[in-house]
Amino acid sequence: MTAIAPLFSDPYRQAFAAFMAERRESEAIARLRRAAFARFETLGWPTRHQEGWRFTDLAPLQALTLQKASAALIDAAALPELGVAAHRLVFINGRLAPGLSSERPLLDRAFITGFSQALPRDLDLIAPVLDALPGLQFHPFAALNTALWEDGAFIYLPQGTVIEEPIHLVFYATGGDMAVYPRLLLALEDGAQATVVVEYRGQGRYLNSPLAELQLGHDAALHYHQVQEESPQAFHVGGIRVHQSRASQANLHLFSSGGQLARTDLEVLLDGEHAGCLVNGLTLGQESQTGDYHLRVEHAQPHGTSEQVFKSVLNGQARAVFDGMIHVRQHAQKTDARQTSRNLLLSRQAQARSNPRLEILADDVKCGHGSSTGFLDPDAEFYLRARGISLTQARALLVHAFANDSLNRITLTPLRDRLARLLAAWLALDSIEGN
Amino acid sequence: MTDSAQTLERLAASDYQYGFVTDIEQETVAPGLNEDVIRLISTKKQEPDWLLEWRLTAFRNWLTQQQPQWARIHYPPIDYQAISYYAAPKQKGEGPKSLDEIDPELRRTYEKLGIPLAEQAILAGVAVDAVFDSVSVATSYKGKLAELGIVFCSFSEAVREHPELVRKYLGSVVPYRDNYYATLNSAVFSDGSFVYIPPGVRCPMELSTYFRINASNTGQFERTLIIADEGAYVSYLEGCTAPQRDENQLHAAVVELIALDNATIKYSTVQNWYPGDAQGRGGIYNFVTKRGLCKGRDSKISWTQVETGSAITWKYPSCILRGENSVGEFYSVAITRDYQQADTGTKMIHIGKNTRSTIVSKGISAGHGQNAYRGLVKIMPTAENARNHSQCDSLLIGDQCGAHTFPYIEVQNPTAQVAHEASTSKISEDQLFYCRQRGIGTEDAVSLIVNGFCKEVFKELPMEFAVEAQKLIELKLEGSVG
Repeated sequence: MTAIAPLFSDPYRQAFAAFMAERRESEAIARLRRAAFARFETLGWPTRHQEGWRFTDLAPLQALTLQKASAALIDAAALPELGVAAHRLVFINGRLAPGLSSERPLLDRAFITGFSQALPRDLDLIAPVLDALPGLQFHPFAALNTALWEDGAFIYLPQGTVIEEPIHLVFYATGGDMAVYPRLLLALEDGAQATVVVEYRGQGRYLNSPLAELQLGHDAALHYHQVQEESPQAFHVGGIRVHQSRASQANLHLFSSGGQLARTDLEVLLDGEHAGCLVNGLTLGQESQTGDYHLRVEHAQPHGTSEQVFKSVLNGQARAVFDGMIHVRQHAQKTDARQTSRNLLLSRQAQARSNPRLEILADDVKCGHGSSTGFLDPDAEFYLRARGISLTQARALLVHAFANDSLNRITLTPLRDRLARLLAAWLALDSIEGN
Repeated sequence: MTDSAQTLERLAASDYQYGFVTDIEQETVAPGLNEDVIRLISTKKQEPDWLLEWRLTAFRNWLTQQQPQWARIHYPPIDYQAISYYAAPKQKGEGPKSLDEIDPELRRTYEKLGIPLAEQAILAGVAVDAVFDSVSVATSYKGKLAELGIVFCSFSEAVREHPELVRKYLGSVVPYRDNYYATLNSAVFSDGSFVYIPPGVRCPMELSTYFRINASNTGQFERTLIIADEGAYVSYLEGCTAPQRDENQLHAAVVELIALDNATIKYSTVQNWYPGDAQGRGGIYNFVTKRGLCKGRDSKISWTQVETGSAITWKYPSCILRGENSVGEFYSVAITRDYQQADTGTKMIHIGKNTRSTIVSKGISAGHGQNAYRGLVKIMPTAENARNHSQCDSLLIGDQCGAHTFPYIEVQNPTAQVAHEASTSKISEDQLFYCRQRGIGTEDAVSLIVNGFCKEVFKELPMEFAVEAQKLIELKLEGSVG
């Protein structure tokens, strides 16, 4: 790791001291924050000389003087709706807005709540699991989030609890160069099941640096959706950690269309036999947006299955970065892992960088990856045009088919339909330059 | 453990058959590296001033560089002051005039290695330049090539005889400051081969260089420069061995290829440096920079490599596809067993229009071997209609080894089509069962399956080499199947 950029971290040090002075919380949490801040200082601000940050240009973000998040009022109409009954928590600038949230009755011992409410009451439950998952140890923004989060969602489902209604978490930021560090802690005990939709939105320019920790017990099942529609000037640099026990199943759908820079680092540890994981990503990029995913799927136990499919559609000068690693430990025999990265370049200045990687230390495995980048298939275009469909329409149709494939994997129908409408609007909005 | 597994494990214990040391009088420079050593090397080779200056510039640059850490290989730090940078068989008076004058001890070494020097060379139709430690000892078949205007000689001779060509192209593909090992090589390179094929000439035979490290505590830093002028064709082969020693030895070579309009260069390597013993002691550190420049339109550079030796292989034969319609190819089989480590692959840099590249990489890991493919496919904004297809397959034999794939794909032009595929698997019980059911023993079945796995690459090798490579793989896998 390279040295710290001192000019940058000094204001951070002051900000951290001021932050800590304001907060009145238990020593267990304060200790966690101090350790995380020390980690951030050791790691330093990432530079493009670091392998993991080579293609992520943080200079425009670094040039900002970030402000501490403050409360704001917003129009409820700006917030996304799921269209079905849901447990809904809304966070404005990183803080829970109870007036906009709607809680539904839960069984005993289950929680879907904001940290600010949960912490004093359930410290014993939270302290041991907060920031306890492995992964993202070298991610400066993950450390920063742990040091500076103010609020977030705490979801805890005891053994065997199955929640039918989706859990809808909305994070909205109001700009003003604010930095928000929302936190999500989700623990599913053995056999618990949940569907979660996390939405990121905002207006103006800000940094949103969320960190989600998802823990799955034996046979637990999670459908997790992240819908990133930040404002076009926003920076989104987030992280997700997933820990899976025996026979648990995690399906993660990551949709991204907002932000001038949107990067998500994801680490999944399949830490029990027969654990399964699906990561389905779709990025729509236009103008000078950068959509960036870095993920690591670690198979630590035998008989695990994982599949990652990442697609991007890029127009204008948009850039996509995909860096995916499947690591199979020596003990993890009979692993079946597959990774695909596909990029569709619609304009001359669009760029895609794809880096799918495999590290395999067990011999009895089936692992593969594939990557393809290019424009639309001219044969398919011709086929459609021969049937009287105009070139513009034909292209829109083909792009839609390419992207819709990702949306079709989403089983939560109202969300899928909404994203499909968004995709259609996006395609109509942007003329495809072609070549 | 199954019966087949046992057979495979047993097979792994085969020995390195090129591990002998030739007892020959060596002239070696004391270990250490400073400007005086470089001046001494340059003086010994009677080099012109510009070349000495070039070496010194490289050396000064090297002092500012850091050893690369990004590869997936592990080794103790190398003490560059403990290496002798020049070792040569001692000459008695004047240099040899013909093959007969070469030290008989040296001739016997090459005979043991099965190199067709002298008469054998003519029979086999292969022109050989043999590099023994640091000096090129003999170049066979020279007269015949000279008739066609082909220059095939040692690098030192080229510096004396064709300084204008050397000066024009040396460092034009791999600049002296390219990377740590290439820079070190630029400072201390001792000898190597030089090939120039004049316009429109198709080289009538395979050109071949054989490298051997004999002296202990020496490094070998050869430099190869091949230029194919307009419309020329050449196929070049390279082989390598070294004696069995407990300490690690460094080999940091640089190969530069330049293909002008319509020229084709085919470069094949069978690398069998001493890999170290079964416990991972000793062996060659093979840190090599190989790069070809498709400078002219419709030019083609094809790399084929069979990497079986070396304790560590760090090598990325690359193509810069600058000319329109130029073609780059990379075919590789890398096999690691015992404690061998390989981090190898290629870079295809597409600059010109309609450039095409193909990558086929087959990695086989056995024992505690670690095998990584690392490659870059870069499509620059100017590379209209560029095409690339990459395929990387890994085969794992035994549960202590590792196979890794790190492709980097960067596309900056929407007219490009780039596809990459990789798979990792072991030899399936079904395939083995199928063969055994038909009366083929486990060992033969494994060799059959592995050879089938490597076939796409072997078919790119010249005939004799393909046979050798196939045998080498069989030998390597003896006792390692599981």
